[in-house]
Amino acid sequence: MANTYVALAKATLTSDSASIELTAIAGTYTDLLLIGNGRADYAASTARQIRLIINSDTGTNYSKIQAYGNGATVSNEIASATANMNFAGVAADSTTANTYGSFEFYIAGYATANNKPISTSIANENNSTTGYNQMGAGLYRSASAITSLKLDFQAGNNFKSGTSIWLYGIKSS
Amino acid sequence: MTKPTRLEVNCETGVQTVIELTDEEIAQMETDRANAEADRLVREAEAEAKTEARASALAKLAALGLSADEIAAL
Repeated sequence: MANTYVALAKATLTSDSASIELTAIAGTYTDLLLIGNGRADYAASTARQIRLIINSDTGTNYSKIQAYGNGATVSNEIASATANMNFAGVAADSTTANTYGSFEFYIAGYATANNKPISTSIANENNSTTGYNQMGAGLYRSASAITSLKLDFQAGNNFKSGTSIWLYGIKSS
Repeated sequence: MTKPTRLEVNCETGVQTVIELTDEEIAQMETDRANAEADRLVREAEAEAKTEARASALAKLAALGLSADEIAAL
């Protein structure tokens, strides 16, 4: 990482977990980068949408657009005025064992009074025909600085042990 | 029986805390899981119906005398 990236948190699950929440995020950086790899404890499909909730806010202050493909079909979704953001999708438990999907959320101007734009990319490759690749954008409409980020599954699944996350604060150089 | 847990990471202190879900949170997860499974079954049924309708349409076109190349060109 460039020297403008400062590691704010890192964690690896040692047991399955319903959610991962990063709290007490300082407002002293320009942007945030949340990256990780994850797997859902869901055996009936090949991927699970991951949900992002900011500042524990479950008001209808989120919107998103995303496109994703699995090697056979391409899909896209638009949602506005939702209570969270769901993005497709980390690896699920029907896929190759010990294989995790990677994800990245870039949040620009997270400490400003402006609405917060978020770009996303998520990828799963599992040595089969059911990989996924996603690109998306989100918007969190709030004048408040972002101080917490929570990841979970709207479908009520758990992150599998071994799921990891890293959060970086980025200072303008 | 062990309750499901969640992980909280304090970025200021670095402290990581594994917290048991409350009964209310567990109930919500079970509801979310049931709703998601119902949605999945609906989506799969819709996709299957669409596939069957397409196969039926292609068969009817072939019965009218269209070649495979002509059908593909539609």
